[in-house]
Amino acid sequence: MIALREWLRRPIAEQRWLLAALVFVVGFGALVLVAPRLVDDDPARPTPTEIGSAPSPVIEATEPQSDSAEGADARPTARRFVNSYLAFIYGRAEAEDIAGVTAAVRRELAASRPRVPPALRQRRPRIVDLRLTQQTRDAVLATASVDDGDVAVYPIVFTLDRRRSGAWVVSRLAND
Amino acid sequence: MSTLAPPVPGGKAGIGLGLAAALATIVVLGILAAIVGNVGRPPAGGGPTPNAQARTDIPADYLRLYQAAGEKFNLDWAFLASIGAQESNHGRSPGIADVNSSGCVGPMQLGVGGACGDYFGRNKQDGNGDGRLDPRDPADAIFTAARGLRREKGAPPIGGSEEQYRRAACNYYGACTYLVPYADQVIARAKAYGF
Repeated sequence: MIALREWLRRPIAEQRWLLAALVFVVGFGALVLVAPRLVDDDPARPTPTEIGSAPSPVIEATEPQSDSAEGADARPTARRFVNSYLAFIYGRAEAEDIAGVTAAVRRELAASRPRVPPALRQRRPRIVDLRLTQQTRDAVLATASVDDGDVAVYPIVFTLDRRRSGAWVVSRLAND
Repeated sequence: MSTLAPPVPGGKAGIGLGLAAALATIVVLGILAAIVGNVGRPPAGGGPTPNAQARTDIPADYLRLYQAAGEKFNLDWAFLASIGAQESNHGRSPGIADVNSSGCVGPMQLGVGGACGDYFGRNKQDGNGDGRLDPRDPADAIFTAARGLRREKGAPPIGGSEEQYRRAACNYYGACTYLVPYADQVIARAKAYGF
């Protein structure tokens, strides 16, 4: 108290630098406390438009250069398959409508038809990327990235085999 | 003999007092900011405080129900809300009042028979205390879903691991299959809500 009294007795000019320091510290402290509330709760989180009906950020559909010349002709079959498969799992088609698959895959899908929640029926899935990787001369691994306007783009992974006729067919769906 | 202490050379005591005053001010500002920041927010029950994403995406009445059910059954409300979104977009999907071909109905698509089983019969809760049990009623449906998730679907208490919650989502859906990304979407959305 004595020291404070002494300090207060000094001329204002002598206290100026201390007052400036005090103002700086208080101002900085207030900024640190208030600034996070002026922005989002967590800037790392997606914005509200990324959930619900608004489409989420998408990868542009591409024709990757990594497609080998031998596997590239599997692309139309792969795309046709994914489109019909999406119609199936979003409740708009039956297993027999799935294109470009072996009879065994179609049977497997028909037997394990997933429940389609009402919210899923409303979504509009689309392929945003399709990548093909040659495994052997007659086998290609495909990864389709699907955006249905929900929280995250998700992958569908499957294998295509080339038949003797030269036609490609989906022979297996990857299971995690 | 003077009782006053000699003046402090260089005003060091003054600096110390100034800094102490500044620190005290910062503490007071912090307390005020915390109070102001929580005004208008619904009470956090059964998990994290709803973030901006959750408050934007979830209707206020549903958010309160998810939180209350989460608190009652010791279940992370963000996970429960994410299932509500996955099933019916928080009650906004058309046709949820009708029992579907699998035997599911209501905003949480609870089984009342058929392939969906009798989830509602096994776990039914009167969430709004009106003396009636209805899987179409949002309160009854959400409380029933929460109870079943904890009792028979393997959902862990609040603070459980992501993997435990993922398995519970699979169990709720009826399968953990590569066919559909149900559990992945539930977990991703729960995280967006603050899980």
